[in-house]
Amino acid sequence: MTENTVPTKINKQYSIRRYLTFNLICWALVMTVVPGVLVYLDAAHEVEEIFDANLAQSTRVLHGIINRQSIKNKQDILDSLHLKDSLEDDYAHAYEKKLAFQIWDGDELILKSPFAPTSHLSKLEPGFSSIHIDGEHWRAFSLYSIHDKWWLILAERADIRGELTNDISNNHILPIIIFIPILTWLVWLITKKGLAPLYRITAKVKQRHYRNLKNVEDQQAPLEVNDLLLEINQLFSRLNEAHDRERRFVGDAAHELRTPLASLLIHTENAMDEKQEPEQEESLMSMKHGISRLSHLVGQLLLLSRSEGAASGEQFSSLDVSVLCQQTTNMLVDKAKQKQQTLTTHFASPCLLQGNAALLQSMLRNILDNAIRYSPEGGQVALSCEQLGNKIIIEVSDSGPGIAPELRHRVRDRFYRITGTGQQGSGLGLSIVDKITLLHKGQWQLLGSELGGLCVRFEFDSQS
Amino acid sequence: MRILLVEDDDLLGSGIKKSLTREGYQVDWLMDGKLGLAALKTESFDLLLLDLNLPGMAGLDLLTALRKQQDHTPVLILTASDTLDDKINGLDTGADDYLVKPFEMAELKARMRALARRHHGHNEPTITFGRIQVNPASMEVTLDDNKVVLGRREFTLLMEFINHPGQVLSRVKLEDVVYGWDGDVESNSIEVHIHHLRKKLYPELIKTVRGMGYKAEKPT
Repeated sequence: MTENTVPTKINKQYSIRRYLTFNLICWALVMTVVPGVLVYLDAAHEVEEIFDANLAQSTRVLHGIINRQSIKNKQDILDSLHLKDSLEDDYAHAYEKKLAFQIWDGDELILKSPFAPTSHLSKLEPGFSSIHIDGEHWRAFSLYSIHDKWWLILAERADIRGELTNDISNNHILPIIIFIPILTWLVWLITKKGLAPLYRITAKVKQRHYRNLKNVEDQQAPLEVNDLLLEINQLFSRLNEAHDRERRFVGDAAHELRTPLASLLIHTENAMDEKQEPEQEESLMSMKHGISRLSHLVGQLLLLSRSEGAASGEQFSSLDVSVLCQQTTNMLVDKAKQKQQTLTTHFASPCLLQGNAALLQSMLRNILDNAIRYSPEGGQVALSCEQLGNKIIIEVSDSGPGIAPELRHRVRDRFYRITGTGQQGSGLGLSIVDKITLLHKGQWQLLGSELGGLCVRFEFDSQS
Repeated sequence: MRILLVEDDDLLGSGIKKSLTREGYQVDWLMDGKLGLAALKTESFDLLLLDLNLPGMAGLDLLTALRKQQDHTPVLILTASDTLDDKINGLDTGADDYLVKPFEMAELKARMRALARRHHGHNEPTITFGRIQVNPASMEVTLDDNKVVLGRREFTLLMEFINHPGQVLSRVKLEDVVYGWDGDVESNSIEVHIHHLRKKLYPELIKTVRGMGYKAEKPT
């Protein structure tokens, strides 16, 4: 099979039907023509042998009936031979040949048949020979009669004999030649019929609307196509799932935008209606708050769709995670200070792995931001990063309220928010974290923390 | 009119409360479904504005429990979900109306007025109560076709009497209606408002039921 992944039709593209038809016909031709030629040659040879034997036999018969006494009146013999040759004979066989004979006594031609030439039909040696006389080709058999002391030569025209040989041999290979077109037609028909299920399924898939990802059903699908169908159907169902997921995501995303938009609208109306300055100021502050919440939500949505769309290994480079941890800490240390929280860090460097720096940093920021956000004023947050064997372990612990074990599996869902936390989030942070971890072939889990709250533990394969 | 708002989004809740309060509604705001149901059990509200996705107890569960208790407080659902199924489900569970976020406050207020009218059996946008005519939408009050200017709290109090004709309303109940939970109530402020109402309208409108409260009979 050629490795042709281009979906459009290309003339040079491999085709099962063309391959089968072409090869079967070629080989069928070889398999009929070669034996045909062999049969022809063999038949021709055998016919020649038979004719030679006939010639020899006729010579001996002639030798038996002709002697010096019987040819005294040789004119009579010649006349009767002449007469016989000119007579129409209804019982003549198609394979009868005209025979000519000569009787030589030394260099003297004693007797010859009417159509025989006057020169030697053969050298005066016993056995078979071929000779050209006056542009005619003769096959001759010579025999020396000890009794009569002469040479008896019987000959026949080789071209006539060749025609006969040809006819007989042709008759042998004719059936084989007739079968060639029939065979070709059969091969063409059989491959067409054999490949019909493929064409049928192609037609079925062709008619489909691109949104229709239901299974392709074909009750009469042959074994080979069945496997292909099975794989295609599995691909379809995976596609369908992905499609549903995307649709749900868009729906969910739009839905999530409604509440912040509603509050923004109301505060705007309030700001327009209020006459007094402090009240108006308050509404404007709420609007600003609403807008920053919306932009955070939009940012998280974009990040999520980017991390969902990315393929593993894409834009990966060798990087030191402990440096990323340090950068993330620097970004958020002020936020922790505002809440009078103690932020302890422990980074063992280097912790090298293959990854996308921007995505990994988003992941770390989401987790650390959560830890700071959910830990109380004056609480504790710890971030550590170290290499254990061939694993890189990152842990983020806090002294917040934690997440009940029965809810821990749900936090990876998009837009899932544990209600009643008093914190407003997008509900996307942990699903972003989940996607990015998955992209880096890592694992993460939620555990209880020594600090009293939640501990998020990541495990990545280290580079070495 | 006393409203209970159950909405867990702080920005949205504060915006709605602010806007409605300016219109003279008494808004009590809770962010938890369970607390909302508890409040509805112990106190009476004229209208419940209910979000569906709530901590403590989902909005629809709250609604189911409320209707099971034979509480007929009008309920208006405020939700981000606009699918037909959700709307049907909400209305079938016992909601009186359904508003999809984001919405304009003007629409919310109009729907709230319509719900109050239906709940109290008024069909006209203006309510006639003997010599008095009240338009809740514009907060206009006329006595014998003469315009009367009422304060926000006086208007709320008047609407409470008009909506419960012939019923004795206790001072505590009236304080709840006018001030809700977060107002600082002076010990005699209800008496002061009733005094003003009697003066601005006419003295026989509100009768004092000694030791029990006040009532207003609908004149025939």
